[in-house]
Parts: sequence; structure tokens; C-alpha cells
Amino acid sequence: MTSDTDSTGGRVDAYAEWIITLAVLGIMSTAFLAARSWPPDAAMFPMVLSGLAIGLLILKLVFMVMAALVPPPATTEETPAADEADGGGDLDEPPPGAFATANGRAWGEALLCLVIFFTVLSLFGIVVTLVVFGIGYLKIVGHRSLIFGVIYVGVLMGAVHLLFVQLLSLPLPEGILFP
Amino acid sequence: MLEAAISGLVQIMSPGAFGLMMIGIIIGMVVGILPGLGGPVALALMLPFTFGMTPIETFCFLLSTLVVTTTAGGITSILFGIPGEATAAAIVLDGHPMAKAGEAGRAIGAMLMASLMGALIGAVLIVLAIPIIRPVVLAFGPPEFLMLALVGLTFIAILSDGSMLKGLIMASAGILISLVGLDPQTSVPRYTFGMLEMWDGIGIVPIVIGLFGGPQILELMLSKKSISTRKAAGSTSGILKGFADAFIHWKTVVQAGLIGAGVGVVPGVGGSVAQFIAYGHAKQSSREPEKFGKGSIEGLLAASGNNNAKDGGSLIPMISFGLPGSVSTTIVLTAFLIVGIDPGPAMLTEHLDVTFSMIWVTIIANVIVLLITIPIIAPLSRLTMVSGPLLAPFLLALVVLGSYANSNSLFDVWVMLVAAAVGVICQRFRWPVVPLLLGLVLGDICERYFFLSQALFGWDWVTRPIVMGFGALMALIFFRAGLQSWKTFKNKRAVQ
Repeated sequence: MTSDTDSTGGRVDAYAEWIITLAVLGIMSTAFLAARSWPPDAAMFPMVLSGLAIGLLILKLVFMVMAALVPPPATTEETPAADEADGGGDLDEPPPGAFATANGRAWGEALLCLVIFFTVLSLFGIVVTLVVFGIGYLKIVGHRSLIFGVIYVGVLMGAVHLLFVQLLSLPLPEGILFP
Repeated sequence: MLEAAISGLVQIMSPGAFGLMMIGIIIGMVVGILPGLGGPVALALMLPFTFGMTPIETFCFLLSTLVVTTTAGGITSILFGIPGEATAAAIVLDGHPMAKAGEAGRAIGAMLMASLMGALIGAVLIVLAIPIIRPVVLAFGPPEFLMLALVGLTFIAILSDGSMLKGLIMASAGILISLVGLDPQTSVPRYTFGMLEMWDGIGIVPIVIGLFGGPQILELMLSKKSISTRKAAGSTSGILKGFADAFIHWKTVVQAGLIGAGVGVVPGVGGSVAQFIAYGHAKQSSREPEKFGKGSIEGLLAASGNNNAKDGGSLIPMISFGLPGSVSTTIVLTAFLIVGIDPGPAMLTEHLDVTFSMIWVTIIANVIVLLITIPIIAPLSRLTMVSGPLLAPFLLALVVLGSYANSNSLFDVWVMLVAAAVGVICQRFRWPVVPLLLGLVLGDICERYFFLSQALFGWDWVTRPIVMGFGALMALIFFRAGLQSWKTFKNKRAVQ
């Protein structure tokens, strides 16, 4: 079995397929075992469901093992055989875009931004988050001027306040430290 | 009946009622465009304002908000890939790829026209169904509701992007998520991990926003490019082409409308299911099923055409029996009681004009939305050409606020975040997310009606005629999907 991730990033990554399948199998097995401690009425449906899912996942693993053992026919575009045996794997599929083509730096930058956004959100609430993140993100990632960032955030905050607070009387997310 | 129809129309065109309808339309558009804030939220917020209104004014106000919310939800789905409503999730599947390809104007135009046609179908169905609906609805018991939910699940076979096994696994995962919370029979907490927030279960809204919106935002942050790079995004010709598409593919729209209205009649099933059944049916009966999910106009029309028809359908049991088919109609039912009307047979005699006013509102509100939206389609479509770093903070705010509004708790924001991570993994490694959503929506319904069926009839429920009819339909759907998969597999082998 080899990873078939290539420069286009358009095909299923064989390693990821194994990891996802095994992870879901782990979740379903845990769900099945957890249901055993409940009263029969509460446990029946989850046990039947997780049992069925475990069966399906084992079937998928069998397909994957078969695909790993039997080399696929030589083609210019390699398609994972396990997916193919399941009737899947469209040769005409477009590449999945930025997820497959972005480099490690882009991934690191985007994920770091998200971590900062949600950390600030949980600590200080949405108002502070939008101000800090909005201005910072536009300045550092968007390469916009500070004035542009302030205007952008001002308009965004105004719209949020008008729609959520004034018009719909809905509360805004508050943080642990700065409600 | 004609007199009542005219009376209903005249009454809603009175300045007071019409003015309230316009206010409802504007509120509905705002709420619909914002992700997470659905029709039920808008109606619940507007309900206190109905005290002191006449029945006609009340329904002008509330129903216009409801139907417009449903329609406007599709705009965000198309432009940003973030469903404005849980019931607009299927619109993302083909609407957003069209926006990416520079056809946002065409997609919004087609969505609006299909929604209007769907509203007309729902309205016609109400008129036709009210006199005969009583025996039909009464023929449906828990076993039939269970089978209808199972029919919805069989569409997983069609909505699995060519990999039925993955689709079934994802649907199982969705059903498993729907089981989180207190068991309805024994009140035992299931899969709650000792967290009190999970006792009420996991909300569908944050999951829909995360699954569909999360990957779109991350993609923008990674690529730093705009959603679309083509200049024709919102041209007038594109909008008109979208309108024309709805008429060219009128069969798809009518079928989607009938499915929406039919599912809407069934209490508790709702639009989250109807959209995928309509979409799955359109894919199955299309000559170009391979285009679905990649910007198919038929897929978009099917997903849009059922929405408002579903609202019309859900009004039928509410008007006839006082039996609400959804959260939204439950709130409308509350409004009935506030203005002193008892739903039931009197709605077909004493208050027939009120019934017709509701039908007129669903039609006229959609016509007005279409007219209001036409001039703003072009500027809205240009949002798809704004660069990624400019859109990202705005979209992050939308998804956070939309998720938070589900229960005013940050817990829902974390649920959305986890769903977003799942959505990204699924998109990157081609695991279908629609079956997961369908399983999530239908899992709870399946379990509830299965237990009720067992408690009421034992295993005898499987021999009921409608149950057997639905069983045959399921077998047919699976057979056709299996045949299609086999043909595809054989074709690929032949090519290789």
C-alpha cells in the first residue's frame, strides 16, 4: 500500500483512508460497549446501530486489504481500488482545491489564525475577538492598512449590533474573562 | 370558496396587513441570510408583537417572515457555501459550485424562481388537499412515519457521491450523534460524557453550519483568493438565465415541490429531510447525475423548489387538525390561539377567508422577495469576488453568531468547530457529508417511531399496507442505485 497523494492532491489519500476507517471503527466500538451498561430499552437502538456500523466498517476494511494485496490495473490515473470496488472513485472528479494544494506554511498560518480566534473568543467574547482578530488578520494576512482594518471592523461590529442586538434582541457570545 | 379566496386576498391587500407583510418580509430576509437564525427563531421573536393584531394581520406578519426566511437562506448557501437555514443545506451542494464558477447570479435567480414555483405548488396543494386530507393524515400512524423516515435514509444510496459503503457508514455516524442526550423512553443519558450541555442532544444548526461553512472558510484562508474569479458573477443575463432555467427544468421543480409539500404534510419530518429527498430524487431521475454536486442546475432547482412547498404542506395538518408539522408551525399555531382561532374544521367553514389569506401570503411574499432581490443580486454576487482575507473575519463572525444563536451557549460554537473539522476531513479525503446530516436528522425520528410502533403493534406493524408500500419503494431505490453503481463500475473497468 502506498500513499497516492500527488501534486494535484485530487485523489484519496490511502493512509488517511485507513486512519479514518479505523478511527470510526474505534468510535463505533466504544459506542457499542458504552451502550451495554444501559437499560435494554435505552441500549437496543444504539447497540443495533453501532453493531451494523461495525459490520460495514469491517466490510470496508476487507475491501481495503484486498485492494492492498491485489495491485490495481495499470492506468495513467491511479484510483484507489478499495474505493473503486465500492462503486466510488470518480475519474472525472475535479481536484479538491486548496486543501490538497496548500503547503505546510499556509496550513500552519490558517490553523494558527483559527486557534487565536477561538481562544480569544472563549476568553473575551465576540466583541473583543472581532476587533482584535479583524484588525490583526487584515493587517498581517490581508496586508491592509490599519485604517482600513478599523473601518472594516467598525462596519462589521455596527452591522452585528444592529441586527443581533437591536433588531432581534439576541445576546452576543461572552468570554470567560471579559463578559 | 371563490368568495372566501377573494375575501382573503382583499384583506391581505389592506394597508395595515400589507404593511405588516412588508415588515415580515424584511425581517425574514435578514434572518434568512444570517446563518443559524432560522424561521423558528424569527417567529418566536416576532410572536409577542402579534398581540392586538387581527387574525389576517397576524398571519401576514408571521407567515411572510417564515416563507421569506426559507427563501433567503438559499442566498448565503449559494454565495458562501454556508447554509442560511438548516433547510437550505442541499442548496450548497450545487449552488456554491455554481458561484465558484462565476454563476452566482444565475444560481440565485434560479433558486428564487424555483422557490416561488414551489410556493405556488404548496399553495395549490393546500387548496386541493384541505377537503380530503383528514383520512390521508389519519391513515398515518407511527409505523408509517417510521417507514417515511427510512425512505429518507435510503436516499443515502444516491447521495453518497458514488461510494455507498462510505455513505452508509457516515449515515450511521449521523444517527449515532442524534442519539446523544437523554433517552426519550428511560431518560438515561446516552453518550453525554457527564456533560450537562449534551443532555438536550446536539443541535442540528451548529452541525450544518460547521459541516458546510467550516471547509469554505478554511479554504478561503488557505488560498487567500476570492470565491470566484470570473467577472460574470452577477450579470443581468445570468440572472435572467437563472429564471429561465427554472422554467426549462419545470418538471424537476414541480417534482421537488410535490415532494416538499408531501413531506411537509407529515408532522415531525420537516424540511431538513425534504430537501435531500427532493435532491436525491432529482439526481436519480436526471440524465446527467454525474454533474450533481459539481454545479448542476437541476440539483440546485430540486433543492430550492421543495423549500416553500414544504411550508405550504406543513400548514395543511395545522389548519385541518391543529397538528403542527414543524417548530415553525407550532409557533404559528400559538398565534392562532393568541388571536382566538381554533384550528380544525372551522378553518374550512367559519374562517375559510383566514385560510385563504394564509395561502395568498405564501404566494405574494415570495413574489415580493423576488422583486426586492432582483436589484441586489448583482451586488450580492460580487461578494464572491472579494478576496479571501477580506471575507474570512466576516464569515467567521457569521458562523460563530449563527451557531451561538442556536441555544445562546458557547457549547454550540464548539460543536460547530468540531463539525467544521469533520467537514474539512470529509472534503479533503472524499467522505460524503450529506448522509451524515441525513442520519442526524432522521435518527431521532427513526428511534422514536420504532419504539412507538413496537409498543402499539408488536412486529405486526410491518404488515400494514402503507408500510409495505414504503418498503417496496425503498427496495426500488436501492435496486436502481445499485444498478447505477454497477454500470459505473463496469464502464470504468472497460475504460481501464
